[in-house]
Amino acid sequence: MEIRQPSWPVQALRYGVLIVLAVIFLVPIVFIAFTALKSRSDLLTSPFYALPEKFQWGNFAKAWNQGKMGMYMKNTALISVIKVPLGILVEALAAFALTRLNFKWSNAMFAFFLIGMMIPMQATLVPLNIFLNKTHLVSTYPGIILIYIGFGIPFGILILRGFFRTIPKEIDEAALIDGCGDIGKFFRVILPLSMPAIATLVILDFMATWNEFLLAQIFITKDSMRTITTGLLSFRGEHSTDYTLMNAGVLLSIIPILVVYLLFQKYFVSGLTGSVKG
Amino acid sequence: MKIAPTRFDKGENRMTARALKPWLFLLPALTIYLIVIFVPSLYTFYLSFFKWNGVAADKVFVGLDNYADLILHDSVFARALKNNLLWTAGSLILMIGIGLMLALLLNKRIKGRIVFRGIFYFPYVLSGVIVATSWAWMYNPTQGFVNKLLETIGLESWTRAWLADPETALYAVFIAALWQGVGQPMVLFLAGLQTIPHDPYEAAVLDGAKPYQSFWYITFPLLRETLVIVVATTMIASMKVYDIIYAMTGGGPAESTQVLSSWMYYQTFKFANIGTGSAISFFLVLITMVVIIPYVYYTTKRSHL
Amino acid sequence: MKKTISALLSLLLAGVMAAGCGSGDNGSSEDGQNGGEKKVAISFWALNTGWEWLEPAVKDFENANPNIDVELTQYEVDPIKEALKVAASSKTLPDMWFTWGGTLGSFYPENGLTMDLTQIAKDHRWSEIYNKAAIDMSTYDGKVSGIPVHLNVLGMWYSKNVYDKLKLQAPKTFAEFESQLAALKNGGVVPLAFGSKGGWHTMRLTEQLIEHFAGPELHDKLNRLEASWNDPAVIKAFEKIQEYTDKGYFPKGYSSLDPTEAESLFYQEQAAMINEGTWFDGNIMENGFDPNNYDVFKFPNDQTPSRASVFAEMFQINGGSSPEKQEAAVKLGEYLTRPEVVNKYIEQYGSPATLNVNISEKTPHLKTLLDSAGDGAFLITDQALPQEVVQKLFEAQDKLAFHEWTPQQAAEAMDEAIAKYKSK
Repeated sequence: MEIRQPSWPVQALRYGVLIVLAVIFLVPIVFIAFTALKSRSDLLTSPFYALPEKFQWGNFAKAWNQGKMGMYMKNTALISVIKVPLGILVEALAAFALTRLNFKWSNAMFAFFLIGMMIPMQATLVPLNIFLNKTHLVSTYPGIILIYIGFGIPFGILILRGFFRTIPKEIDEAALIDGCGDIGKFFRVILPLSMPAIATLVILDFMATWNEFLLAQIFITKDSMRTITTGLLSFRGEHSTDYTLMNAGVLLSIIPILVVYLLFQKYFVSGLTGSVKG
Repeated sequence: MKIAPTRFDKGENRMTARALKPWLFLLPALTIYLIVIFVPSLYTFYLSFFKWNGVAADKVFVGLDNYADLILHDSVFARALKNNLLWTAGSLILMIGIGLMLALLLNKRIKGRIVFRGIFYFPYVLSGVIVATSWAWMYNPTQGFVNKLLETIGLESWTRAWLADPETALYAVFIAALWQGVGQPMVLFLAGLQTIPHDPYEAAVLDGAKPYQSFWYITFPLLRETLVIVVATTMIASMKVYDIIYAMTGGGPAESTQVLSSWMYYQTFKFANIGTGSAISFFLVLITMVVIIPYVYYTTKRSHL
Repeated sequence: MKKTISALLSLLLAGVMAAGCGSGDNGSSEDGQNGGEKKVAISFWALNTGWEWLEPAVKDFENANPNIDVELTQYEVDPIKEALKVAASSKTLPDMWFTWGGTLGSFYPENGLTMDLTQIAKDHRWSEIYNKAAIDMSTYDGKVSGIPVHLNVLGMWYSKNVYDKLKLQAPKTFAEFESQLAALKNGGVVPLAFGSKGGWHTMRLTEQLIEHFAGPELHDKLNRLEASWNDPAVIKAFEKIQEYTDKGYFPKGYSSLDPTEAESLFYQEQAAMINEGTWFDGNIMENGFDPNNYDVFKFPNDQTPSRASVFAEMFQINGGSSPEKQEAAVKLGEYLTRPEVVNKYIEQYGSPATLNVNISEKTPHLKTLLDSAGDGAFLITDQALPQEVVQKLFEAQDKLAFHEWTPQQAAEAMDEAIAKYKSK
């Protein structure tokens, strides 16, 4: 962050650009909100950008009930709350090994993990399905969490490795002098300094888990365990789709994600301020 | 009393223990990764050398035929590949460029920073289906917002059926994807900017550096790690892109917006050509690998650490 | 196919005539008690939206059959296709599942994954329970492979208001149909509300054009891949698609228009006709409109017999499941399609394959459409052709619209795709 306060015209320009962009970004969101508040006949007889003829506030309750959103949200929350911290821990340990333990194969191993990010999920469905069935993990939380963690590993390692590499080696030496072993260094030095990265990962990972639908559809067959994406998809039928309830449902479903975002984006604070001065 | 020397007293074994340590830290991630991603992918890779419908008792080994057929005889594959490359170029320039710009703008202590960040991140949070239908409706040729807007500001000659014209369809979808996607690079850059210490800036200002000089000589090099992350993620996501295109156009019109992932989906799930579908997946991986791996190695060497 | 047509002629008509009567007991499956008290658990995959009646109906079944436990998993349209394919490849198919007919559902019987129900169909006298067309469309390679649930018939729906305003009536001949297209266009209305994203909406018109120019026999041969598509009849049909596009009979940009967007034009009375099926009364109602403001006509393809496009939906049973599970699944499937259950949920049931049911007044056009198939029917093209060939047809439709292909080139491309498919 700059110390010197920029001049007034520069500030105005900055605000101007931001406001213009913000308006552009908001436009479709406003339309989505309109759709959520329309009746079905209104949606089909008026343009997408038109105000609702009559505000159907009841759509939210309808979407909630029809889409069984309460139950599905609970399930998804359970999965996310376990998957995200566990995944980050696993990824952080690996990234730590790749960046701080004088590991000869660091680059090769990193490349090995990175390749996993390139595989389209659809290509792994059948082998994974066979695996889950053989280990009796179909439609179980451990099963789906394991799969989710697996798919999150490449991205998590990519991010955490990147951020760990920006932490100067002097800090490691300082920790060593303080008598920290590797575990201590990991938990008491590196992790706290990586709060911006970890916060970012929490936000992105939570959201990815929350919105994931391909694996959730195929690997969870018990309705009582299904995730929120099932609820949202349930508005789409063979011959017609209820877009009003779908939009209302989507707006309801993202509230937890936004909450997580707001909670964690305050951690976007530098952990290195003044700590590098020798 | 003579104490028998323990394993760890011997210098050699101390080194073994030290060499073992990284593997212990890597073990959880490695195990899960092997089970969930690597082994299943190997199986799919193996399948790409066969002609199989996924169920029949016998698979027919065809060697590299599936790959050859795709390259030589499949016009949709060629189009899909081209679309992916276009998409990647666009993403690397625009998705990253705009994301970076937003991050820089929102890194300053300005009023409403949190609100702005939220607004730009919001589309990223929406599910692909909603983004796709909303934008498709905005592109509606007769009742859509885009054309109505153009008419209102007097640019009626610019109106067209954006999604129905093979020339414009992919770009129209890309704009929707841009709207949805810049939130991610923005968030990543914001986090990256936070890890840059203040000292260099203070020193630079004392030396009389102008803002753009600060950016180019301080910010940019120190953002290198973040840039690696963003470039790698963006490029990989561009090669794998699927949901928004499939939902907005189904790969049409006339297969003009097919991409590798959607064409793979058709081959595997609609036509039951498992071998061809697997081959497309591996093309995807191969192309991505060929670019990303050297890029990562290169940037790793030029580290400032 | 010829046998089917003539059989349909009599049986469909008979079945539909009986539909209004709501007779007494039909399906003769035994309820409740069977010998063993052992609990049987079966898994059942079906669709969700539009099938809200399924969950309560399954519960009714479980109450009537205390020794059978049904695990019901409901999916949306694309996920169920994916899930079934993945399950088939991993040998984890459920005991019973929902599928469409034609080449969408043939994958399972063709690969020996389904239970052969031919004997059960005979023993349980399905020919008296279900519409013959539906049974036929659930039969592959001579084996009955599914319990028919839905029989859908397609027709041209139109807005009465629009037609009245322009003083038009349902066309009886192809020439009349075409003159109406021009009249509607001149009257400021888009004649055909078609959204070709995904290709299948326009295909419903293309196939009737082919029927018109080629006649039933050639059309069937074309669909069975026994005749070359590079045929004057096909080319004429493709020419019409181009002609209609050029004359603006389709909405602007229809090649990528979602069918829902086309449907909205229909409700706004900015478009006159839409090609939908027996389910459409449900659509109209769900969208908040009155089915009585709309009507439907059989496409006048000037052929004798004048055939409608139909497709069936069925429950298939896992050929690899244990005999107890299969027996339980058959019971469930027959239960869900017996007249009493159909009648109980008739308003949400959709177009039943079951005969002798009371069709609701709320869906006034259901009977009309089922009647219209009385003369004869052909399987809808995107289930009649192999999926790869269907995909080529969709591409051809689009390329014809842009004049990227001439009708001749489109016909040749179809032949190419068929040859490629056959050489697989």
